Amino acid sequence: MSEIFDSIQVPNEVKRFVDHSFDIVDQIFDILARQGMTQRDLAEKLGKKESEVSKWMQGTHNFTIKSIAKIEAVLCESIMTTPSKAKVTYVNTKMIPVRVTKAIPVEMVRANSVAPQVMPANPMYDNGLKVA
Amino acid sequence: MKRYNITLYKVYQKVSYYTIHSLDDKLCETDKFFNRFKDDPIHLTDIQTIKYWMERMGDNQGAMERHFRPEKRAHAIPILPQGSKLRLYCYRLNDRIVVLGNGGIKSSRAAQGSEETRLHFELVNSLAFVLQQKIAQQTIIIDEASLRGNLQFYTKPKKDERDI
Repeated sequence: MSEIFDSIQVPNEVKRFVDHSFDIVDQIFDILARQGMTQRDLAEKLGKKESEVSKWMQGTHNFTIKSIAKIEAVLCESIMTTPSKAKVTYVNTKMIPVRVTKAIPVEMVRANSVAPQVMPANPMYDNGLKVA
Repeated sequence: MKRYNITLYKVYQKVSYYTIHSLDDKLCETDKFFNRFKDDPIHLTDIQTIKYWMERMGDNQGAMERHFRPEKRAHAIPILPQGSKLRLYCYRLNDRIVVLGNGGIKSSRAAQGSEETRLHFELVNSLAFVLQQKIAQQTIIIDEASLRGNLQFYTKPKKDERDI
């Protein structure tokens, strides 16, 4: 194992930058998968070359707010949220444990809740939780 | 003829990073890369970004194909912000195994045209070819996030080859 590699100190600022870039890319890919779209489809919708969109997806791209807004606009979904906005959105949503014995459409287990901005891709909650 | 070993460099939960180590050299190729740039104030942030990028993939999502830039048979990591030309060449075998090489400042559009990156680019492309052959011949076996078998390979020196 490399002592040289281990000796490199990474400041929090750099970690946060890479984390944000990865989080944005992962969110975009989740949305694309849920919408049955590919990276190429996204490039077409944005009027960009696929090679350019591909560069954005590598985990170190410095996304501007403007480019995030463009992507959100063509995907019709939010990519980012702030803690205060998330609090408003999810404050009335309680998660309670349930035993899931068979596939239950998500529409049947959601009730009396504030709708989250992004619905899960899986048609059921399979982690033993449901929205109360 | 230059002989290399493929050796473990850093292991995370989701990714094992291997490196290339010449039998004639004290440092492996990836340590040569980090050693050359880690104390350079111009490229320090790039080096820190690459390190954390490796850690983040290693601990979280794995070495997904979308995070790598294709470079002929091999790959480069990553395209850094602010137009940095620093490249670290590697071969992403799958989501769990990446073999890192060496890198440098890419001064021309193509890695082959840049004096500082050409040899490193060619070395990881040779490695990618050899690994593909050895895996096909089953002299190297992929065992989850590990490589087993004959992890030695050699390259024939070109007439203008020199160490960087």
